[in-house]
Amino acid sequence: MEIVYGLLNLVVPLAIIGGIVAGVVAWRRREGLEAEVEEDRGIGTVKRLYFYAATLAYMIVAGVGIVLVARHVLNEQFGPPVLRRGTGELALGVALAVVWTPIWTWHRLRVQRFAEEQPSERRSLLRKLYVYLTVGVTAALVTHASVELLRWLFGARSFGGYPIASLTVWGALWAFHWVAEGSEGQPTAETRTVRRLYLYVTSAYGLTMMAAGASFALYLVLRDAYEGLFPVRLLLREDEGLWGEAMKNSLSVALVGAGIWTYHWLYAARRDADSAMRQFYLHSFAVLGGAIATLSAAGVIVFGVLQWFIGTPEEAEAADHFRFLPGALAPLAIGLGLWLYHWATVHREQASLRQLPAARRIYGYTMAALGLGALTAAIVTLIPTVIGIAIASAREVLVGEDWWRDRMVLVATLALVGAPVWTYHWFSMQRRVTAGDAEERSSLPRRILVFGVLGIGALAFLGNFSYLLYTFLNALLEDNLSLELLRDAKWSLGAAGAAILIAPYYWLVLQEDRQAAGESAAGPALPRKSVTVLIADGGETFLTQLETALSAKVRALHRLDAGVGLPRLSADDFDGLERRVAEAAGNRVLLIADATGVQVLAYR
Amino acid sequence: MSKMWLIGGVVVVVALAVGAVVTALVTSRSGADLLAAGSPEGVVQRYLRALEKEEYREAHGYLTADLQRRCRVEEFARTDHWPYSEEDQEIALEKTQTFNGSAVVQATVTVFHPGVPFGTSEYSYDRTFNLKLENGQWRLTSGAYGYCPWF
Repeated sequence: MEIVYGLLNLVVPLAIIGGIVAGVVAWRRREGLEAEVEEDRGIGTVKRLYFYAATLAYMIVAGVGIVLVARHVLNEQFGPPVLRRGTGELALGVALAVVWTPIWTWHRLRVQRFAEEQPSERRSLLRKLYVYLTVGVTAALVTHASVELLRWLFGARSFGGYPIASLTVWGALWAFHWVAEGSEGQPTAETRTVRRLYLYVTSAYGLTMMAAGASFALYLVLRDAYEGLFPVRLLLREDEGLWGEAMKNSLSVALVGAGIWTYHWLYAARRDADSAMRQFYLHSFAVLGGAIATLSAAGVIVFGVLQWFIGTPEEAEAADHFRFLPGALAPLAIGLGLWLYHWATVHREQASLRQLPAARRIYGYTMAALGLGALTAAIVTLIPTVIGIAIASAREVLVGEDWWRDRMVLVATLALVGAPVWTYHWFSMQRRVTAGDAEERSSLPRRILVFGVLGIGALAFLGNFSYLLYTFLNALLEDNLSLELLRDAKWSLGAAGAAILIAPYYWLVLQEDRQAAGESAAGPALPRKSVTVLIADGGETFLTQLETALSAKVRALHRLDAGVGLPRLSADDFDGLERRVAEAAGNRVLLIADATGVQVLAYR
Repeated sequence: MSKMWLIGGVVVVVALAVGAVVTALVTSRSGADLLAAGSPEGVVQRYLRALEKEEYREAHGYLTADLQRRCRVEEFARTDHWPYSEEDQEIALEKTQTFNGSAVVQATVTVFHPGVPFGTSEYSYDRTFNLKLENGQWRLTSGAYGYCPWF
């Protein structure tokens, strides 16, 4: 009965996910957005849903059974002596393996035959979701098993049959499905998107593992070096040397992460430079992640140095105080490496696609936002500190005479980190705007930053003003008005003060942008057109450039006629195309793009 | 080609499963798992086996003479003993340390609970057995005075 409940626990969520996907597919078909035509439905959605969900579920159950059996055999042969050997896992493993392996095999063969009998099945979104969920789950299990195996090889854990069994079974299943998918291919944009999702999610966690493991390993090395160079007072230190359990674990994680990332990012995704998902991964995760790690670590170092010279360090000896340095230098080095590598990748790829301005914009405004965040935190901290210095009754209770020193060190740190970052990136963008770059002025990242600051600033001001007003009125009505109110209210004053300083500046920037663009505040925006492009396979570069020119997403229909070619347009040609789309009648435009050029047809 | 791989894989899996069952049956029947009878860990192993088979007189015999006097067989049989549940358990030997006439056997008990379809869920806890050398034989002793050992 437990086996039945367990299977239900697996099948039910898979069925729900499959149902949602089927619903989305059906909705897209109704809206005319699905690439498949009415006559080309493959094996049918319901049949697909059953076979793909069931095949995945059965594979997992069978795989678990095989792993349990293999683990038992390996433990029996090579494991440590036991006082009592459990046999329940062997019995369960045999039951699962013997029953579910043939069932999975039959389903898998059927799934394979679907694609052979109906080539249109290869374009099925459900099929690709099944394939990439399969490789995704097996890749994650292989990752975990690999880490455990390395830990055993390095001597960080005793022998257990699980890592070898799991790596063998799930690794074989991953390889089988990966090779099969490679030969099947991804013939549509949607199927390529599913593949990209797998590649970039896997690359992301591989990169994270590599960075985290390498950072901790580097920290251990730097810590040993620091404690060797400088006399540090310790109560107790486990003397296992540099090659201790912590280093073994860190290297295990780093090496496995490096393998996963190298294969998926450097090899499997190497020819995907023009995909939006890759750019999102690069900008929003890799570059931003590296930048945040670097700036955070730099901030910790700056704070520690300033605290020693200006603030109130707890330690009397410099060697004791600066013990934090290895823990900050390690993430600084790794974060900086990631930041520079991924920014160079963005630069190289976008330059080849003539998309460098777009990439530079996203990066520049993101960095400006980070710097502004640090500056804002500095102002929010500064105001209550100044109030506390000026008014004794506004200070927290039981603080020493030098309480303000560490606070000012924090303000200085945030300002030193935030100001250069914000100043450099914001004014770089402003220079382009004032030089007359209209595209820069109306770009989406700029608008997001400006409106985001205004929105957050307004909320911060109004929220904190409400609190201050409440505090004041409450004290007034209770006849309790005194400067001691500032003890609680000073932080709200800090937040409101920061909003008053920053938001008006961006309001003025917004007004300047609107005046330069010729917009009036109350004027209605021009209606966007729904643009569909009929183009041959391989036209992703054209589509990306067109979306940039129109500042809107387009829908793509893939032409099956052979030999029609792709259009080759210059930047001026794209400007002209944008005008033709804007001037076309109605709200729906069809573009037929081939080697002879681009026809613009309005339709309803 | 891929079909042959699949079918071959099924054959390997079934062979593995059958082989594992045969190995498990053969090794448990031949008693190949038993540790040396005169060693501290061997005594602990035989004590646990006797408890598992509910042969409390045999298990009682592995206690020190003093403990046997304090805890009669009838009382020993009434006490709640390992295994405490019907769940499958494995006890791995971690370390044995001997001193002058006494020994400490450290073991890890892993309890398996079927967690289909993701295999088994399991948890582990450590257990330490104290032994004393009496007339050339290792015997289990308990730290709690006046109480029958509960493990």
